[in-house]
Amino acid sequence: MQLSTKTLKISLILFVLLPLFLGSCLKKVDGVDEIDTNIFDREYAGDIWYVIKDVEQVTNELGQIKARLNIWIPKENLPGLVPSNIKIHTQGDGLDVTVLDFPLTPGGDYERFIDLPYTGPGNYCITLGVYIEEDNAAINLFDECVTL
Amino acid sequence: MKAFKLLILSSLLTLAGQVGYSQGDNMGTVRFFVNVDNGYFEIEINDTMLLRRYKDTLPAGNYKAKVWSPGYVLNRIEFTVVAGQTTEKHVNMVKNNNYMEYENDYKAYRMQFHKQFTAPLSLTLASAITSGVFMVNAYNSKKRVTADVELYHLSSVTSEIGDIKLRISENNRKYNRQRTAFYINTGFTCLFLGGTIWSYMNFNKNYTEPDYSKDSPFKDKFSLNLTPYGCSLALKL
Repeated sequence: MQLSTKTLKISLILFVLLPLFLGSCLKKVDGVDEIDTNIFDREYAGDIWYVIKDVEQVTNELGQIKARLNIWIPKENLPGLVPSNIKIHTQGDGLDVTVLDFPLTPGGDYERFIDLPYTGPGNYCITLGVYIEEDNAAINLFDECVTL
Repeated sequence: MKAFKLLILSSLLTLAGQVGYSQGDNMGTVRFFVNVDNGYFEIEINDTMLLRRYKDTLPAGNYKAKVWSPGYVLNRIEFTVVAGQTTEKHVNMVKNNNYMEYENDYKAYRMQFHKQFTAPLSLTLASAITSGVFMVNAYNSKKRVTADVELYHLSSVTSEIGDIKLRISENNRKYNRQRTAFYINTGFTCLFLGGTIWSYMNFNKNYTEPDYSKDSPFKDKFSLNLTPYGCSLALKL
């Protein structure tokens, strides 16, 4: 019936330390506060998710002069699994609201040109948003201007 | 060998031959019904024969015997064995006062043991198990939250993202509740554990397990010797 005091102490210390050790892993879950960084999330709270890589003056096949914006959606701003193309709500100076397909590049980014009516040197602004087909609406709209 | 003691050695095998009991008409059977609660007794018959069983065959005649059982007063009885018949001898034993005192002391000792060690230890264990349950549940919730966070960063379907976020929010709330419960309960477990150690040490300091000798009074009187030449029963008078 008599337990060795030393054995008892060691067992009890282990008994205390084990749950403390296991419990040390029960920390706050990383990333829970950052679940607003997906551009397909209605509550997206990140920065502008596209980049106007370049702008140039071009004459199209119909002989119209356009300000061509090279729009790039970097892989870093996209979720891990993306479709082969996404629909982007587009609106710009002299450009009515339209939904454009952005194709996936081999590098995993989306990229395409958007032509705006040429109005001379100056600022060309564009508004892009992620188009949600079910809602027929756009989310996460951002304006960006570029100087030609 | 001490002078006042006489050592009688006789081989059991030769004893049977020398005594030469006729195994027929002169023998009778005796059965002892000894009223003890431990189921063990020893009977010394005519100061020369030790029985540890309830039934034996003996030559017909009158016998005097001493019956002993651990914790009982040595009881002296008389009985008669009738040839060809079975005699039943009921023996009522009386508990030894020392043994009764020992039983009471032991009961009190066990009660204190349960009070000062078993009960706090049980409480500590129950608390530890509860902590374990909280911990396991918290781990499961954490796993679900982590998996959903990963899924959130993978998905490109807006409606699915909404569901994922709801699940993350709910499971994260659960996880925080469970880990808080785990930490609080572990705190209690440590307190109970400290209490158990203190209580056990206190018990060890203040109580000693009562002891009672259960040695037979016939212990040193009889001995069985086995040799290459046979076996012998030694009786010290």
